Amino acid sequence: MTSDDVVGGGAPAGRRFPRVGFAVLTALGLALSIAVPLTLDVGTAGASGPGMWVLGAAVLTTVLSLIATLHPRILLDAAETPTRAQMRDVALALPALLLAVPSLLVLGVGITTAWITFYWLRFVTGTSWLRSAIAAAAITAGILLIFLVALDVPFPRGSLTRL
Amino acid sequence: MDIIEGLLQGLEVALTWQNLLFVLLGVSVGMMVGVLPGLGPAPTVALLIPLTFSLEGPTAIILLAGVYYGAMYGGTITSVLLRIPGEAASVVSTVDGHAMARKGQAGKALGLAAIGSFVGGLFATIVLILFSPILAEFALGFGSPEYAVLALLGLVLVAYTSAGSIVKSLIAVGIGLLIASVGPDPILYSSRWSLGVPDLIGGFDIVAIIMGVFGLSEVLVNISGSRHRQSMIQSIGRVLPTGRDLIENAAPIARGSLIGTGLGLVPGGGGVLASLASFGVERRLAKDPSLFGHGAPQAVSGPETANNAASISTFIPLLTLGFPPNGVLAVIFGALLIQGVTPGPTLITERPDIFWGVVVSMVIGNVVLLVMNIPLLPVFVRIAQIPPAIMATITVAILVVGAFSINGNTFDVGVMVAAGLVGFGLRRLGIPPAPLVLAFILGPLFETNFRRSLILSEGDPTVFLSSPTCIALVAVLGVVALTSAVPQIRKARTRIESEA
Repeated sequence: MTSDDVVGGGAPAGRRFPRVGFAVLTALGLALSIAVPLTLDVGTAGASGPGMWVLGAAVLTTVLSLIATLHPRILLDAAETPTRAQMRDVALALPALLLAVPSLLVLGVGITTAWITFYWLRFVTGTSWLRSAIAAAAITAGILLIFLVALDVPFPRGSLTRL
Repeated sequence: MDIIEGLLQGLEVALTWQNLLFVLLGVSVGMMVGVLPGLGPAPTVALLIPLTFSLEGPTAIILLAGVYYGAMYGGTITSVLLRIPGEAASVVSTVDGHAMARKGQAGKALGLAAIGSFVGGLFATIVLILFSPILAEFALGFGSPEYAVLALLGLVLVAYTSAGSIVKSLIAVGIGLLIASVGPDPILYSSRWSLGVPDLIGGFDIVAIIMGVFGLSEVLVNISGSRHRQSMIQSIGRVLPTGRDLIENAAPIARGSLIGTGLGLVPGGGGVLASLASFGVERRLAKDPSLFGHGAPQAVSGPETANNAASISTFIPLLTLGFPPNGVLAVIFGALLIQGVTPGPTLITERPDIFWGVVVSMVIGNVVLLVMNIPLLPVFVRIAQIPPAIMATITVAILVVGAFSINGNTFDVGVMVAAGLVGFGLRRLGIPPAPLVLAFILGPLFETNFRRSLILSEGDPTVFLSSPTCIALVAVLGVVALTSAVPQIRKARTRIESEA
């Protein structure tokens, strides 16, 4: 019986995702633990500098991530390797999320909300074209009513649309 | 100000038409959140924060608190009728509650749960009224060492009682502390990790982080589920319990009130832990435990009472010590900070309008929920039929627009998206988001008091054992680390949350 059996974890292929994930966390923590004393004053216990707390948190995260990486029981606990379908859906969602920032700057809040809701409905959740268009219009109108009319939030206008 | 005076002021605040409207809105949204599987109270409260920017302090907290305890009521409906827990604290009811529904007693189960929730909520509110001023007065004597040890104890307890591995929960704490360290040093005020980016000089915005880690990551985790839908509505039957039902369930409701109120005070506690503990107690005390799992009313009334009582008593540490004991309260802590209010022992004296207004609104909210729950059951059952695709889309749109509304700055939208993606990755690795958010919020408080204590004591670590309160808190920390009960709680909680 392997430790994976004890945990009820999956086949070795299921271990790759958490192992890579925790290795990345360990590497990031280690990089921070090295970078902090080089960039921030750590000081002493009685006269701590800005880096002391950060160094403590970085070392804690590194050590714990390393422990998780080395212990399959911890590594696999509650971890779920995303399925191909989940990864496809998240990959479909990414353009909307990543383009939201430049879109808000250029197109303004109204048009950005409209295309994000339409895109999400049509491409991320697989709703039909017509339903997506109707629902996106309704959701956008509702959100703009709440934020612009009811709450009177002064959003900056889009540089291109002036909306 | 004595309790009577406070309650009168609370009535004055809570009975304004605006606050009555927001109690109704809060509990209605909470009920809907409870009914809709997939969207828990923490992401919803995070989602609503931008809507509170233009509200008065008491109104904002009344709204957000209403969502939390309203969700406890709503979660029962889908647990009983559809065997789908609307939120994690109602998972226990999926077994016996649904078994009752299959016997044609759905109405009885829902009615008992509603009445139990009302009693539990009322009991916890009375405890909140009676003990909060005493606890706040005691906490006024706290210095930096006490606050540092309290923050450490809180983070450790949250990590220990979270679902999954302790190591993973503590990693979440470490990441939260690291994210919180970006920005000004709280002692020397020098900039840390701003990397020449003006938006980073003040650190990450608390709302953007909360919305991303709780809200967006939740949408991404459930993204595939939003394509599918299951529906299995049962007939409800008679909703009002008979006098005999009430007599038979009086003791479980009383015990649920006590258990829920007690466990709500524990960091990391709240509805899930309370309903689980109540279920265990009821099964142990039952005359015929074999009925449990096959539609025992006590297995619904006790746990449902406990989870609502816990959702109210969990406000005691927040409003008196400035300590949020779970993820939802961490979000409400953030909302208070945005309102310019620092939760803590001085809140009751400096902002009695918020403390007493919120307390009285809880009583009103529980009455509203009881009244609304029974006649509006068919409406909430229909709400459970809203396609998840629509809910997910509304959530994403509110997250983007809400993050933009924080400062009218797209940087916050970017932070929200980044926090959401990080939260999604961490959740897939089995790292829970709540300890991360709590550490992010408690980080500055913890660091300030930890470093200040060491500076004042010239680096002597025994400063953290310098008072009876410190010693007691350190002793509790030791007991937590050594206790054997905690792993059992964790295992049960992990099972319950995975079922949810």
